[in-house]
Amino acid sequence: MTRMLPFRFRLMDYLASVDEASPRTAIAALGSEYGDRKFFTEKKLVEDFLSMQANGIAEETRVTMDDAGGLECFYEITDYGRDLLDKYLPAWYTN
Amino acid sequence: MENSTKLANALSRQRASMNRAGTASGVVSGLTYGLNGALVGGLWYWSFTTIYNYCYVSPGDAACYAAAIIAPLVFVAFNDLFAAAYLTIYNVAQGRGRELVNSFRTKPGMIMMVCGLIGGPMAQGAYYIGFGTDAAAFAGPISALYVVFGVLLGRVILRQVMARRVWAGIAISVMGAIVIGLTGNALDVGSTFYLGIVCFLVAAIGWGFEGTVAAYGTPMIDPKIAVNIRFITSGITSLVVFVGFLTVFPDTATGISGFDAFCDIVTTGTFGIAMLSGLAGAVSFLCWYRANNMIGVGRGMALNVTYAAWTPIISMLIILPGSALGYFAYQESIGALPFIAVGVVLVLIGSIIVSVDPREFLHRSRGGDPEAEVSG
Repeated sequence: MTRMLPFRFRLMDYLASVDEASPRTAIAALGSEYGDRKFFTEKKLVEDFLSMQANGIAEETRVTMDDAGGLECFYEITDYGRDLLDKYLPAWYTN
Repeated sequence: MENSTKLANALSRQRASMNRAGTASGVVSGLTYGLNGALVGGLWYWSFTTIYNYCYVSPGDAACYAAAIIAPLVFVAFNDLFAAAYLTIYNVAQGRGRELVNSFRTKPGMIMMVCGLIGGPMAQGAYYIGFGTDAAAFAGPISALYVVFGVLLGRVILRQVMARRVWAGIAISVMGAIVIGLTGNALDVGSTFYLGIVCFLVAAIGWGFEGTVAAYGTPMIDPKIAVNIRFITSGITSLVVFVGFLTVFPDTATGISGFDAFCDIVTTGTFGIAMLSGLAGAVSFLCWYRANNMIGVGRGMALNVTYAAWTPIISMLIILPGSALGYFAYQESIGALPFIAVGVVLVLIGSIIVSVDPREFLHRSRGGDPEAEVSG
């Protein structure tokens, strides 16, 4: 079995690799790796982003509304988030 | 309606809804942790276990003291093990089983294990030893100082800058603790009163340290996983340390050992109380982290710390009235109640001021909700 990062680590790594991301873009980008996980839903990812925002890892950049009236919040990683990644991403993943 | 107005209204509704859900979660976290404390405190008055019964047969006897120290320590291990089991079932059911295993092998996972050791065997051990002393009534208010110690340790370890508001909150909390401490003299308390106060202070320092270290090292782990790692660590180590240590070094006066307490709890109704208190603990932590995410860590902590007030209130409701009065302030010295009440209120106000900037709190309450109320 391929060794995988805990999802939050991977989500932060993804957020650091793009200008901004939303739960929907994360679903599209990480679906091939985590798509089989039960928690990998847009609703749960909204909570993940909120949690990262509450912990100072991510900041909201903008909010858009689709035709159905649904909101989509976009986030960018903070300097603190990047520091955490530098410090705690496992060597086997970064090398 | 213009798109920008629609967006503003939808956003306002979403934030108001999040505010309500987060506040509700914060209230539930305080209530359930209060219930957890009341169940453990109430254990003392419910004569389910053989060891506790010694105190009814011969209060003040050596066996009573053995029960006062040994049984709560073994009980806390069960409390944490059950909390760990509920959290593990919850996470596996949510599809996070592999997340849990993978997170254990990361640095933040290891930091969370250290938090489990400090917050579990050390802080909770001290807390429950305190419950077995004459200072049991002060468990809530003094241990609530963990917020204050957390901020102070954050200043020393993380070199966080503290606002004047935080210093003021700390001063108010300390005043409250002093008022409660002085009541001890007024009450002509038993010989173990000050030992109990020291125990609760150790618990508060341990939890403050746990909170600080957890905040520093673990934002990268999903909070639901982080809490699970914490309880698995604290449950297993508490069981090994308390049952093992107290079995090797049993009470010399009575021969009561950690293994005796283990068998006593497993074979009596106390086991059911441990299952219930563990569930209350697990729900409390999950709700606390949910509140932190939705309404901010400061307000989440402020609502969580209300457990210090809920513990005596729930104790009064669920424990026999005579025992409840005894738990609260010793029946013969009921005149001290107003002082205790003032101390409790000061500790709570101080802790809340440390956690939340009142100006920001009022601003958010005024600014966030009204529009949503109109449109929602």
